[in-house]
Amino acid sequence: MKKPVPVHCLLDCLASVLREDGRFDSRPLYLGVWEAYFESNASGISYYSDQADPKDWLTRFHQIYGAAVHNWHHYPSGKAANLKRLGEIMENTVPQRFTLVMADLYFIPHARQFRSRHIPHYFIVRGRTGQRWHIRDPYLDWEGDLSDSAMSEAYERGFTVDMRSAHPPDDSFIRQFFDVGTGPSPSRLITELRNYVVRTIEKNDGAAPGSLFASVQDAGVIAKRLWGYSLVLHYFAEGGGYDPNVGSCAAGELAKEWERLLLMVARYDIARGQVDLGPFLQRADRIDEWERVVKGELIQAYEHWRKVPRTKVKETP
Amino acid sequence: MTQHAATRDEIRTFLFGTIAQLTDKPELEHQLSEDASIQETGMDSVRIINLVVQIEAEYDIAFEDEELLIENFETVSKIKEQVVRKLNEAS
Repeated sequence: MKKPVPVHCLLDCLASVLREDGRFDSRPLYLGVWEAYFESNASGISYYSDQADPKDWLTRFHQIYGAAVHNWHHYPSGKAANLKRLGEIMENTVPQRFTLVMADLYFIPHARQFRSRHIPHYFIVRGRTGQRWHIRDPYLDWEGDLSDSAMSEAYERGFTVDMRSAHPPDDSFIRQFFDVGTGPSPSRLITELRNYVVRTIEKNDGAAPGSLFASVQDAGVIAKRLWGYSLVLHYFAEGGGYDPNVGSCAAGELAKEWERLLLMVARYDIARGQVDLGPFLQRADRIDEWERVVKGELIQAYEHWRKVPRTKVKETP
Repeated sequence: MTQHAATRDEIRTFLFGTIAQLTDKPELEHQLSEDASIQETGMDSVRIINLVVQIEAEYDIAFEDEELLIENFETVSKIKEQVVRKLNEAS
């Protein structure tokens, strides 16, 4: 089986839950992930900020699939009490109930950011034996044990997903999220990156300051969300009798262009010389073009899918 | 043929040494396998671009923006073949 492409750590956990449950297609979950929030300010681009609210994605998950999401983390109780709660949940695991934890990658040994960068990240906690927590980390494609001390440092909050109440993806919510999640091109990410790079280089008398890549490297993580186009496009294409191969090429090209663009920025930083912004701007324009192509194909596939009659999902009490 | 073989050895030695220096892991100079993923050794995107810049300076060749994809720099073996190709094109 082909490995899933990492897209978004929280959604990848929920998709992993859906795959393990085995009843429903996980792809509608990624609707609109290409428009997920990120921070852009005078310091650069960051994939996470205090303003980004993952609750929105959990609500969507519940609305599309009907699975109950139980936020058992109690902020006033403090970390120790919540970790104890997590331990109790692991002692009483129930089939079809999955526990997800948000942790700080700075304390996670299997992450590249270990002891170097504080970044919130989601993974699935599968169980506990003695002082070892059994972890599945779909985004980082890692499965293994985390020590008690690492979990104590890394843990930030947790919640449980109960798949017993889940139903097939609800078309009415899919339609609603599709309309919200397919805004006009160009995307905010390429606009913000282009503006930041041009502004920074112009301010530095035409040279990269040496800190440019560090300020925008999160754009690479955010750009992974664009793989969501491909997942949703294939979902619509298969459900609507549209050519399922459509869009694969454009989505792949879009991802490659992003990689090239960011590596170009890294090279500007390392070379430290005068930067000719022409090639950078041309490549940014090419990203705009590819994203328009992908969105166009997505809209066509959606129109086919929308016309296929389906059974309405019953409301869950 | 002999000249090419020597050049390949030289390039390989240069790549092992530079990766060891960039990752701050001197043992890699002798322990890294040609076909191992260099990302697994701690070569992130900044280090890979740093390696590209050092290769360009050492061999007086240039990688086009179009070639800047991590998949083109996955292993020492892959990088070495690209350097050899560029040197052959230049000669």
